Amino acid sequence: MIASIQTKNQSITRTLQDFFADLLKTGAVDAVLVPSRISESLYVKPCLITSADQMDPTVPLGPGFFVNAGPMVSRLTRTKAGATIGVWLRPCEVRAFVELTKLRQGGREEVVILSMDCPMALSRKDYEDWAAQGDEGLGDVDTWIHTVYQKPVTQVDAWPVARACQVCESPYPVNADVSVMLYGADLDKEIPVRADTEKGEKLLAALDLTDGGQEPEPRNALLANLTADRTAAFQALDEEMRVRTGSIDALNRFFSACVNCHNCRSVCPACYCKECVFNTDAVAYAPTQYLSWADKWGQVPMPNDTVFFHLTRLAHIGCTCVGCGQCTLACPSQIPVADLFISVTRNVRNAFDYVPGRDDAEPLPLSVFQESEFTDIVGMGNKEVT
Amino acid sequence: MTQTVMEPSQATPSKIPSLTGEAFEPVLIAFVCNWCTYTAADLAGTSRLSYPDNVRLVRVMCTGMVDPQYVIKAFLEGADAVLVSGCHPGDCHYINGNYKARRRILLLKQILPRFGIDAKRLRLTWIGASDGIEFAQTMTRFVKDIKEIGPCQARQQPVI
Ligand code: SF4
Ligand code: SF4
Ligand code: SF4
Ligand code: FES
Repeated sequence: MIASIQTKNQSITRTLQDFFADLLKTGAVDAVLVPSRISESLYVKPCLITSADQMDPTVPLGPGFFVNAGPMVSRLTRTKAGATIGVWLRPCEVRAFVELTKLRQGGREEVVILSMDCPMALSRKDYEDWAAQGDEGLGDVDTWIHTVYQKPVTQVDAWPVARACQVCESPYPVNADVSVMLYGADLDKEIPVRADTEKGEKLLAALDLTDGGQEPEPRNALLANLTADRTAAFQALDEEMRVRTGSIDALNRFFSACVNCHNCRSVCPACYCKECVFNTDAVAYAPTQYLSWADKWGQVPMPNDTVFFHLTRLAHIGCTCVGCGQCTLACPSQIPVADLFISVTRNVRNAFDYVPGRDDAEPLPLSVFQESEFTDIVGMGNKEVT
Repeated sequence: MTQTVMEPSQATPSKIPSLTGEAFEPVLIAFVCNWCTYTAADLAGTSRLSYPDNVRLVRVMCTGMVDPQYVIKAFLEGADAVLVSGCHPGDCHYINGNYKARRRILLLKQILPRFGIDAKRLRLTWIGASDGIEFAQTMTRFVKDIKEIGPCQARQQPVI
């Protein structure tokens, strides 16, 4: 069913804030998770809100995206809370949460997932500049919203969106309970919302929203153009990465500014280990080991294991990177980590015909197998010895 | 024997014997399962079947325990090739570790070539406990193949 929420005061932000407040007031949910400004700063983080009067600082749609909320929903659903939580997630956050539920790190039972056509994100520097130009320390959110949903763009006014978003293949809701359809909508008038599951229908019914809306007429065509644009942008990115990291030497240079802080891992919603091997004694080498490495090549850069760390991460999340770009945002050395991870993993997962977040029922490729598959990779690749 | 020389971006280190000598002697790391391929290697030894001494065996309980990161580390430490070898389908002593290993090898075969590590440098074989001859033949063949491909780049310069 598709309902329509009337826009209030020509402000999408206000309309969505009231929508979340109504969810709390009607008891449709006990809490909502929505990005909200921290102490009136320009930065937003997902906040778990139980009080309907706390909506003013929330920024439901905007270019600030500094935490992937997928793992936050995982934290909220690891064990039963006895409460229903409405979570407002970008498409790549839904994908991340879906992947985590496959690892039994969280479950969907007690959450209602509300997702939206994505407002995309800015790099940290661009976000700060954008914010500085608006009132009250935050950029002009409503102008952003009105621009971003009118036609496929990789640039909103003067601001190029983050590279991860430029190549994002599904910036629209997949696998949500409620999908908010903004591309091509007449936003001064209404926001069309679609219930995709029974849970979603119940939620909309609780707000007396009925089947009176429809998908914005231009939306399908816009999404098709957007997908075509982004496929082309991905191909360009892929080419660039193959050149920039095509050998061990090139890879050394790509990560030469890396300081092994592992921020890219901390913020990555696809990294799933409770304890990362790079935090363990497995990589606490004896002094003699360093000397023997130095002896082998004449020198060994320290700290070492930089490329080892990144390639291990690539292997571990090779099928499940959701392309959110958080790793690039978090890197203090301005290494375009996400560009490399997106480029590599989107090819890797093709070998398993897997798309992260696509389907709850689709098992993680490395958790299953079939007896007669991939037989061509076994053996020496010749007839004499098989 | 052809030898590919990779473009050296730094001074060629002097301490790797096989790079300073005449012929290229590759280093192969073989992760072999205790129950099948390791037993086959043992049999090859006791039967006095010869195979090149370029191969360093790492005995594991099952190919299913070879985390992709072991393979990655071996390459970054300068191995020219890596073999993972275990029991034939149906014979794995932990039921299905070898099937899981096959998916991990497929994964690595997608990732490593992106960084100039030829997919042919990574092999997966099933060699049963009584296949001593096959073990020796496989090693001989693998060493020959790698001699043709040449040394891996990580062997010639340190990886950060
Ligand atoms: S990566 Fe895609 S879903 Fe995530 S913020 Fe960017 S456009 Fe949105
Ligand atoms: S690797 Fe980067 S882009 Fe991929 S899921 Fe992790 S943080 Fe997001
Ligand atoms: S965040 Fe940047 S500097 Fe830190 S480990 Fe990752 S790539 Fe290296
Ligand atoms: S025990 Fe040999 S492969 Fe599993």
